Amino acid sequence: MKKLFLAVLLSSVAFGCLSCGPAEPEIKIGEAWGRISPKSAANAAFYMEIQNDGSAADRLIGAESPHCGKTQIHETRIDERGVASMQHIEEIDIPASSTIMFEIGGLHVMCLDKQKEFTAGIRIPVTLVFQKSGEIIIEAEIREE
Amino acid sequence: MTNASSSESVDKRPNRKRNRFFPVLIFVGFLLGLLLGWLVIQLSSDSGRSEEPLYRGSIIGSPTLAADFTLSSHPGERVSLSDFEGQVVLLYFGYTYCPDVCPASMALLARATSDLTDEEKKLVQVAMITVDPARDTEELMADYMGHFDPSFLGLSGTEEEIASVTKDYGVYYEKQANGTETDYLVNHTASVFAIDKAGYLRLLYPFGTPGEDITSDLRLLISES
Repeated sequence: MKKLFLAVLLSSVAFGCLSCGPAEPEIKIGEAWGRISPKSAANAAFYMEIQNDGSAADRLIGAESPHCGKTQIHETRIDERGVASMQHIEEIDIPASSTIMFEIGGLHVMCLDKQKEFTAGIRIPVTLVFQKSGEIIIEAEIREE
Repeated sequence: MTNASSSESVDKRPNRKRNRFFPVLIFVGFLLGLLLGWLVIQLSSDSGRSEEPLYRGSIIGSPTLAADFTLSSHPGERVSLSDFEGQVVLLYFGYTYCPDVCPASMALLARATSDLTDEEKKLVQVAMITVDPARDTEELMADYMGHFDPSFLGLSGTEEEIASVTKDYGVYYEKQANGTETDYLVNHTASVFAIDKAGYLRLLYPFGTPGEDITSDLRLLISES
């Protein structure tokens, strides 16, 4: 009985680990969009969902876009007085099996020194750079929201 | 005492029957009177003269007149808060370099006012006062605000004028220390102020307030006499 039990245990572990390799992140970017922004607005923001379906964490270490003079990750914070401030975030962890939301009033990819007017319907290419997953190019849909 | 012969006694003792029901009638009449009185009070309070518990924004207890200000909407064009007497004013303090909170707030107010009828909308004025007068010229503000809604007003002024009006409204603003001469962020109070048709500061909407709440409150403020 003991031998049978051991055999069942080992084989289930073996089968269970068929898909086991070294732990890896699996990044998927969803719902990437930005608000329409006139020429008079120097900057704009891109919002999205960064999903890591993998078994290892990754780090977003940068962003770039041909339509932005400079692209940075920022986080808006509103304190108890209702004062809004933004902080430049150098890198952000994307833990395994989690989704990090980039949304209004929170994390966003900031497009500094917009090189063109953001009108409804156009798509702005943005390259997200991850420590492990490398460069992922997305298209942020510009809309009125 | 009269149980055994109550049915037979109806005709013979009419006075007695009337006496038995008389206090009941008085009591019922009293209750009806109370009901009528309550209805009258309810109907008169519906005309909007009493406390309004229906506002969704943060109500400012003991409202005072909103501080008047005179700023520039276009080069050479001066605008005062008192110019908008008779209209509900939604006032916001922000700046055009702001990528997230300010466009989000302006888009929200555009949506909130677009849900009003044309007649209602005429009685609402949305205005943004810049907390970054060094970069936000009147032209920039006018273009920026116009993109959210053609009726929205952008206001700028001298550093002193902006310092004064923000102080009057308890609005905090500060340049972030880590910027350059031309590229800097400004921390600022992100709430929307609602001023009624008579010029009283009535409500505050912290960032994140749903547009429907603002639309609902606007309707109440518009309907005030």
